[in-house]
Amino acid sequence: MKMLFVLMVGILLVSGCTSSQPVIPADTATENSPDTTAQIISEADAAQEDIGSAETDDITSDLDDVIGTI
Amino acid sequence: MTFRPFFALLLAAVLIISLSYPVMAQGADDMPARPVAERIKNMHNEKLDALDEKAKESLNSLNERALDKVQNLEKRSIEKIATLEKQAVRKITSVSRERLDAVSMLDEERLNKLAKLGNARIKELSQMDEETLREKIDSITVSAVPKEMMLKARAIPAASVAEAAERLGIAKQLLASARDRVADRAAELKSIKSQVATCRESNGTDCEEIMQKSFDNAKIIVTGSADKAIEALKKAKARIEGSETMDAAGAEAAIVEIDAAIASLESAKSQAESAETVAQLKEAASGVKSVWRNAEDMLKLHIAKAAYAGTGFTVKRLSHAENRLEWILAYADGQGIDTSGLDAKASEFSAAVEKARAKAEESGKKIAEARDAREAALADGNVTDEEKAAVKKLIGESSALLKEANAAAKEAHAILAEIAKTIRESYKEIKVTESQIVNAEDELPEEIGEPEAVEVTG
Repeated sequence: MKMLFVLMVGILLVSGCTSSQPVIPADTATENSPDTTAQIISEADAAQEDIGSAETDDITSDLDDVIGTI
Repeated sequence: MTFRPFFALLLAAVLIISLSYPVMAQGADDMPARPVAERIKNMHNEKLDALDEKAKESLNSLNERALDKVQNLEKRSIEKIATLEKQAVRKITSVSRERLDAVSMLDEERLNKLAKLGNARIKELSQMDEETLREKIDSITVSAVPKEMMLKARAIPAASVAEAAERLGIAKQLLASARDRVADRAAELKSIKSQVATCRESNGTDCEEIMQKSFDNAKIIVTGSADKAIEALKKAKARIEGSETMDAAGAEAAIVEIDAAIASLESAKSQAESAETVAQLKEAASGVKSVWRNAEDMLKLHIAKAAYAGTGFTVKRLSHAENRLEWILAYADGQGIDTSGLDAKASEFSAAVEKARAKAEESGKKIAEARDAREAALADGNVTDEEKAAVKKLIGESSALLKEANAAAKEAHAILAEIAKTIRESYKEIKVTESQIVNAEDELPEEIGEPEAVEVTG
């Protein structure tokens, strides 16, 4: 009888403690969602840099030099 | 046997405690915030008392500062304000007491439209005289849109985005390598330029070698220049292909034009590759130059459009975020939670969003001007240097404005993150996470709900 009682108390305590663990609410679970806005801003920044890029600015002058030299 | 009743009692106590503990714990978490008092009733204001129950209920959930401003308005104005959505009332009542009088005289439709704008813009427009304000509101278009449109302009499968990013990386590398190749050969050609000129006049001893060297270098410069142009176009194409902020039709139209330019340059490049004489190489160089002359402006215009789409979309997301923040704060007002400590930061956030919006709008106008100028230049089939310079100048101006817009958007985003952190740490009664405040992708908790997504143009 005593053994049965100890067992039952044990089960109840374990069950009580387990179920009283804080359940992570759905909203908290999304705490670390990717920051899409920051990503879009960074992409816009990169695209913006391309507008001011001078990487193709010398194509015409290089070709003019070729035509004038050879 | 005597221990049986005692143990039975103990067992029952343990059972009750064990089962009730989680309920108690949950109850503490979900404890509602302090309910709003019957503010209107307590104000003993005849105009407010005369309102119908629905209007009273709406105004009851206002914060005290807002209600204090509202109670001095005309009864008809109060009724109009009471019909607005809760975050809209919050926004409208954020204008100064004096201007609220004028703003509340607007008809319901205009008032509702004004309330859909950001706080900073509402305050700015509220300074206008009545007629100008009405005209300004009429020039603005506000339309309800599905929330998805706030998240991305078009959906691209993740694999395609990754492939486009890979192509972007490859184009960048090839562009850099073509640049180096051309720069090296251009330096070599320059170093023998005078010798080439002399050899053209009279055949000296080393002239055959010098002329061959000149030809070989020139060929690499011409094909390399074509490569530079092609890779720059491919780079822009990959950026557009992977962009979820550009609408599908705009992206498709840009890609068609870019592909056509790439094809023309490939053809001009192959002419240079097969050139065997100086005359053929010169002709091929002229071909590349001619194709590039038209493609260059087109490319820059599309890059500007892609960049503008990105910033424009950021502004759209931030405006929606501002609306969501106001919605959350209006919910807090309704719960009797005092959020006045957030007012200054919320205003700062709104001002940064408004700056980003205004600068992006100006940038968009410059892009439209550049597009019109280019079309006008192309119309007679002869694009002059002055016309090219004018297009370039407009694109440069649009770029500078976009840079300012992006900086303001970054600032706004950082302020919003700060506000979200403060709410999470110091306003725990508002059960919302930082991510839910910052990311429109995250639904707000059911008890707070989601505001309508609207698109504002003009």
